[in-house]
Amino acid sequence: MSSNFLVSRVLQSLVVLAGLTFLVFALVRVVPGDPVRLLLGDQATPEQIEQTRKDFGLDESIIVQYGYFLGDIARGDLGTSLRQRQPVTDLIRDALPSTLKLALASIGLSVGIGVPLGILTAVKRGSAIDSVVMSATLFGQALPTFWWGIVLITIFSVSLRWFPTSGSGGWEHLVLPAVTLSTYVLALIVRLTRSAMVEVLTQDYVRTARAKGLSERVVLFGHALRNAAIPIVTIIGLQFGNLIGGAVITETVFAWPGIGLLALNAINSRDYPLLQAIVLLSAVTFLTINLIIDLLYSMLDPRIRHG
Amino acid sequence: MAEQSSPALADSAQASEKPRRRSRFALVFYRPKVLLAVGLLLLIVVVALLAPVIAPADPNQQSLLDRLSPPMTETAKQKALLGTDQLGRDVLSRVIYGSRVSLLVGLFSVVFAGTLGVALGMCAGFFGGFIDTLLMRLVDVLLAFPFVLLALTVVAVLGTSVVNVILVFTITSWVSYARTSRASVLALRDTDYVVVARALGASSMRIVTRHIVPNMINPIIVLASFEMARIITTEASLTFLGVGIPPTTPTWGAMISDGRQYLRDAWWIAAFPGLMLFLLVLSVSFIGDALREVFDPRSVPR
Repeated sequence: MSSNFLVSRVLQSLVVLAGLTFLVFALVRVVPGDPVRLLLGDQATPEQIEQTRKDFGLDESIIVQYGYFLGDIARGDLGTSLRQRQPVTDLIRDALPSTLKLALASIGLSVGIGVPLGILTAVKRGSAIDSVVMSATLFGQALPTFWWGIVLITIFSVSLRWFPTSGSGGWEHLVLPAVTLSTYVLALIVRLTRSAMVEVLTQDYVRTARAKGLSERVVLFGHALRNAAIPIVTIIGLQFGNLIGGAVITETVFAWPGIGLLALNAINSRDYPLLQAIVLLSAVTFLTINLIIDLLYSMLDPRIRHG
Repeated sequence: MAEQSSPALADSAQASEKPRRRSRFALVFYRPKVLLAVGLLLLIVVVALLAPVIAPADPNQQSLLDRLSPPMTETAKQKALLGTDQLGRDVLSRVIYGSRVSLLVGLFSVVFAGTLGVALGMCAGFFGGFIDTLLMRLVDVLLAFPFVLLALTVVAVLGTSVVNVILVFTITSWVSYARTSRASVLALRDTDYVVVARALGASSMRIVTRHIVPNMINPIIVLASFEMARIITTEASLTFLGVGIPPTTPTWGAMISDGRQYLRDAWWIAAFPGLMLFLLVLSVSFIGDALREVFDPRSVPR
């Protein structure tokens, strides 16, 4: 891998990021509803409104505000929450561990079960177990997350009382949200692992490996899985990026105090700086993960050379 | 795309392919689970179309005396087969009317986003250069957003209504069609039969409509069916979060949101619309999966 490739990939990501900041910035500013009025309530005097507007820099033109915005980002200052009067970086820092915990748990669950199940169905393709698992994955992908979460709460919290209905705390709080969130990803990983493995298992080098008397275990994990790894790693990375910013629904259903819940509250209270920061954070996470995946490609498959 | 492997005389090759294609189609679609999915989807479409005829009650008719009646209860007016909600509205009637919004949003969003995406993707692939670079960077930017977060933000900007929700899905989901059709055009642009057609003096318009579109449409159809499943789910999710369809319209998402408050005493409010949503999305995905198998020349239907 040449350093040229690395530089051009990083530059590309920065261009995308620049477009993104502008889009986000422009988008939240055309939101109908005056944030200052929402913040101060109906009782505020015009003078108070004017003063608050000035305090937050909302009296400047859009272009000037965007300039300030970029300058502040460069200094690591993402602004102050309109609603909570705290630096948004603090709010995000408080919510991030919860979301990371949830994302890691559900990715762990999905990969831990999904990859072995995908290999199994690929090896036994055409069998009864293959068709049962493949149908189950379609079921898993069709389950609407928010409803599935509610069904799990009804069964395991309300009826059986095994787990708490919502909130965060010990591991028992983590079980239902993690299961809810991982259902879709698990199904996706099974299907993808299966198709990647089926593709690889018909290749000549796998037949050669078998012919020279290697054990099935070495053929599967040494030869086949290694070559099927690229699409699997890609989807794991992309899903992880999605979970960081996109677990809005699961976090809402379980009142899980993470980034997703923070985002929904920011949208409902028209908290521009907070919403901006969250969207930026998820985009940066996504772009970084994409970059890492691209770099991983050449490690996993020496045939890929980036010029 | 079976045609791609038979170059030169695309038109006559296409004609001779037809019987084989039909048998592939039959092989995949005559399986019990696929037939079941098609039947279920048709049933939901018919129910949605005939909602005013078959719904036993007005979906918005409140009756506080009958609130939270369990399924199979005789209420003042009629038998509530699936019970009533917290305002005494008939759950069955609301489930029936709710199918209309899900299908409407799913269908229109896919048609609009698909048309926009295919048009832009083909322009990018066909003309290349600056248009291509600009469009593909825009695609990158939109793909870097988590989808739900993006949809939430745009609905918050535009306000909640059926039209706005369709608009949101159109402007957020055209990107995957654009990517797919651009890739197809790039692959097809330099095939022998397109080069021959151009050498014979065919206009760009003729090349696109006669040679490129017919050969790229299959992956788009498969993509559209999976997008439809995803959009139906996302619409219900947004409505559930309170930022989708306004609460005056009966929707599955809003019913599940109502039912969430009464899980302990009235499980049926959230259970039935959720089940319908699940079945609708499931049948659309099964059909999408079947179509993928029909169109994928490498898969062997069993």
